[in-house]
Amino acid sequence: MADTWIDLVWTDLVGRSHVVRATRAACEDGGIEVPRARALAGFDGDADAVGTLELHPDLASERSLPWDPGVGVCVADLLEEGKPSPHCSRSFLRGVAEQAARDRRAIEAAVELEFYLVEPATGLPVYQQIDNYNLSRVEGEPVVGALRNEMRTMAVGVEASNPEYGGGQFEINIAHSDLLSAADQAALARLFTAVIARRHGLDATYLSKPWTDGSSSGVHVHQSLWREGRNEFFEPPEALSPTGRSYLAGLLGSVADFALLGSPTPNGFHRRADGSFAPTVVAWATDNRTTAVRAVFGGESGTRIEHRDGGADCNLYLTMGAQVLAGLDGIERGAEPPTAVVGNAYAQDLPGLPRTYLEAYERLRDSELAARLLPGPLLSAYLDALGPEVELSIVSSADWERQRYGEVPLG
Amino acid sequence: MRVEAGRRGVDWLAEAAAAAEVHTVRVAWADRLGTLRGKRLPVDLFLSSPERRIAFCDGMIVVDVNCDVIQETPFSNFETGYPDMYLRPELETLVEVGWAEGEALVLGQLEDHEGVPLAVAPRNVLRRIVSRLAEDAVEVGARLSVSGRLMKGRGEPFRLFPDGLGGSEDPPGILREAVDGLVASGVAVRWLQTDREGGFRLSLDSLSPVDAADQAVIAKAALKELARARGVDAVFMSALPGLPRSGQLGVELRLSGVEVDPIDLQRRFACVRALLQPSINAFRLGPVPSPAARRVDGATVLTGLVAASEADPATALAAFAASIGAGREGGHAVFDVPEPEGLDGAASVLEVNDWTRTWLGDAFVDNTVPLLRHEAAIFRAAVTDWELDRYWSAG
Repeated sequence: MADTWIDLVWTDLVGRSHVVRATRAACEDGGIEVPRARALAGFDGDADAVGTLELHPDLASERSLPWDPGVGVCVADLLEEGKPSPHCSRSFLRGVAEQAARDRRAIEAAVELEFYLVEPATGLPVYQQIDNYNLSRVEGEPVVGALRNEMRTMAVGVEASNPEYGGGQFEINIAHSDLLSAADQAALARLFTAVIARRHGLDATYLSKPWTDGSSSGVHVHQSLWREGRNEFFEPPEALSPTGRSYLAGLLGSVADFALLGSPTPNGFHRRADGSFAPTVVAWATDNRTTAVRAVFGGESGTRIEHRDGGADCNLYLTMGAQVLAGLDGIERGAEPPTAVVGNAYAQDLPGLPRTYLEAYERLRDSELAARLLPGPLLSAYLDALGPEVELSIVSSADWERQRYGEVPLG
Repeated sequence: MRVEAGRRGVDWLAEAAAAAEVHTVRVAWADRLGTLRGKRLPVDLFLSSPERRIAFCDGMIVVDVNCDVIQETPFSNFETGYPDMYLRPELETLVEVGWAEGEALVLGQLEDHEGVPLAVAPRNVLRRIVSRLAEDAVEVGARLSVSGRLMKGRGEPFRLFPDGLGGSEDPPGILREAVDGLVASGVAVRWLQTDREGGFRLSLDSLSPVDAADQAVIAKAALKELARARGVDAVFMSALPGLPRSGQLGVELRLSGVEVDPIDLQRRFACVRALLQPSINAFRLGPVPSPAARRVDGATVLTGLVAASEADPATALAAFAASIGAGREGGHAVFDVPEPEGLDGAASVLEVNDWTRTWLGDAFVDNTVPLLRHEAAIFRAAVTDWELDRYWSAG
């Protein structure tokens, strides 16, 4: 490990990663502070909060920075008065994993991340044509290849990559691991996508819907529940066990209420369009990409449930923790999922997911499920942080409106 | 030009990974237009389970040239939910990627969740047809050539001298690097021709049909990739404005155990023309020429078989082999239709002939025809630059 410096990576409420470079001695001594306002702020960075929070390096998460051997990278939690901060989403996720562990259960998760690589000079993707899986699309490969190879040396298990269903869009698949590690790896991958892209003269964006005509970027979380070495979701030869069905029921029951967790910006709701491969309705099915929740079978080791609703720009810790809590709650309640959808979920008369930021905000704010499952201070702080975005999404004019309606009322 | 066999196989890969010579494995399949698609995996992950199947969205085997999904393909559409298909790596195809440092490539069989080969995947169709012929003691060897153009932009070809390399305007060294890289990848390059209008033609050695198709796909991928990396294009369109026709996939078949009737074959080629010329542009090549047949060492060698370079090589070989098999078998009527005039007409001819279905498979035909019709329909709906130029001042 690095002798000198450690980059402490922490995540704010709305999912942005921040880095503090500290000496190893400082990390071990403690007392590294970040402004409380920054930790609790939304996108305008103007939280009405004074004082500081303390960064607590999770030294078990330390890895080396491959391009700078003198620097380590370590994920950090936020402390208040020496205890995990109720506003720290990573601590929340750790608590979720610990809750499962009390029932001798371990959650395995694998994250798929989508992003665009952009030419800074033009602000456009590195190529325009949709070319899913095309191995000859090399325009982004210097960055994506570095992500695969350098991230793995940082113990971020990028196990595959491919051009995605948007021009200049890519997907990376991160290997499954325990819940906290899966979120850490995804958060680090997102952060270092931007770093590596800049090294190669490009920009990267994980914004959910950067272009009207382009595919959206999502985060898909594959999850399974293990106890004593057995996958509790698996029922041979190829079905979800009663436990798996209840977990799925809990998860599905939370998708609408928790939509704002997966989409912290108004931009995220531009994804919700029929045929977009982002979900629009509350539905599940076996291996069906038109639904919000997809059950995937692959023997005991590969049977899992995929949550498909998050945007790539979400707070991974908060989103994944809430998903798992909802699933565990489904087990606790012995919930039974609705009938699996057969066919095109977009075309069926099913309960809809929030289509606007305001709707999602109000749904989360008024959610009994959220109030019951999520820690109150964390939920309140999240809603407070995003309040200004609701107002902005209502009062802001957009370019397309000027273009489309600019000459009204001329005929 | 063939200088050495490619380094291949899992043992080689393990050694190369240990020596830090390879970091990435491309796990690849060819789509219905012969584009090499897949995922890149870290080499250690691949080596941890080389035979592990890799999942892909199954819609991508029935998309159009722009990866648009259409709803008329019964194999996959929004009603089927675009589930996973799987690629089972065929480790005997594992080679280094000679034109991309540190990468290896493995091809494989596309199959469904239960492990059944996908009947819509052209490579599987070709393999099935070749096996069927072999059961009747018909052996097929294929020698392919791929031609295209190196272009600086639309309408601006590189000026390549006839010797292909020395002194020509190939400043980025695309062709040289491609040829060297392909040879290093075990692709059986025989020769390269070039011309002053950016044209190149790469000839490959005689192989089994599946291997020949694989190598042609890899060759096109290498050329496209190296060109893109230099900000130019390797173009495989058949017709480019102001330039002679190019973009052809030349095919020579060596057949044993079968006699062929060139007249019958030409009629059958008209029935599968939509597979040989699968785009509006490719259709400009005109009727599929009649092949020439000669006897060599007891075998029949068919020369002069031509498809568009845009065609998937496996699909083209499947169409030719199916024509030979059906002709040999007889008993299947060839609808006596006039030469189809457009892509959608050619799609209909493909659709209605029972021998094409018998040999290529209903699933393949029923998922290909809608894509051809879709291509024709969007072309009809498009207002072209030609129309604007010609009629702008009319009226």
